[in-house]
Amino acid sequence: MSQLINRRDAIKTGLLASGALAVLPRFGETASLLTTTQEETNKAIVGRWFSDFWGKTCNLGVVDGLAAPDMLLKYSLHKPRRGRSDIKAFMTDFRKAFPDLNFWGAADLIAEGDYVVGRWEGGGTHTGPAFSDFLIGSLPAATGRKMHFTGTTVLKLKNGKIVEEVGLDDGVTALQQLGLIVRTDWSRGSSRYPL
Amino acid sequence: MSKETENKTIVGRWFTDFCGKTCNLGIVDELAAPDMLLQYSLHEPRKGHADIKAFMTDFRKAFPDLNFWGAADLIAEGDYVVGRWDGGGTHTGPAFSDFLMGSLPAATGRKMRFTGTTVLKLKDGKIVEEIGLDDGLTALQQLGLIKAA
Repeated sequence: MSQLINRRDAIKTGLLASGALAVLPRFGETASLLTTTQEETNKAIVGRWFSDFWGKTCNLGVVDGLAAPDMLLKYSLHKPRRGRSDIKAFMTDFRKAFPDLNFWGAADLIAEGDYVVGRWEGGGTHTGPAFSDFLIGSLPAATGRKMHFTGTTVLKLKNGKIVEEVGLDDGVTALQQLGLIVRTDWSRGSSRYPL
Repeated sequence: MSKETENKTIVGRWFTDFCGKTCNLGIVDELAAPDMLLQYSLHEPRKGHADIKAFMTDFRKAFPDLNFWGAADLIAEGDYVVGRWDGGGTHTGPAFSDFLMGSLPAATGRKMRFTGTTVLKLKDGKIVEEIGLDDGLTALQQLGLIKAA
């Protein structure tokens, strides 16, 4: 795969230099070698989204740039959000409560057609205000608790915009760390694994 | 046929015969690499044919109506296939201790129904890795193993 890309880039550079690109549409196969695939374009968009929306620092302008107007953002730990302002509000509140919030890619993106799959890891420390956007329960202000967990997200893109971001968080890990779930007496009594 | 199409066909058969309504463990011999890794977030990781067959045998003994199905089209690129699924079962069988979060005493009668996303890696027509994230929160609450604090 990487050999093909290098040869393609070399061809592209050479042809650009010689001004030959204009005649390429007549040579279908060669032309397709030189265009970026839908998957590559989508992976680049998702890469930017992950850095600027979920990363160490947040640039909410990326929502205007990359989110479709009625984009759906749905993670298993939180209630679903729709549209740019709802999605910005989600991240603003999340980062207020967890100021060091940061998620990063844990493996290469996988892309086919309109879809991109990302596997990620990350978390943050709850030093901010009370937080009620976990479906299971709320945190009072500044608990100081740390969460660090993994997840898998499937994004759907159309015409260069993200229309859906549906993610599964490792909720059991995150919510245990935050003290929002406990094992039942039944579970503790019969388990091989201590708390 | 592209590698992706071939891989999706393999994974489709795997899902049907390994985690579907009925189980045909011969599929492990046919489609799993000898040292295949099976790792789901609710359970201990398993490696190799015998371990993987034991996992499913015990799981289905405890949950005889166990059934998982595809909830969306598979997504494939290169060596990887991603499946999104739904399913569950009723615990009418013996005590079950292959949940990381605790064991179930025999025949609790509890039903679990949950979703998940699995990423499989294939090499030369065999599955080498199956790494799945279960919606553990949903499943374990339904089974009475965890609750809101």
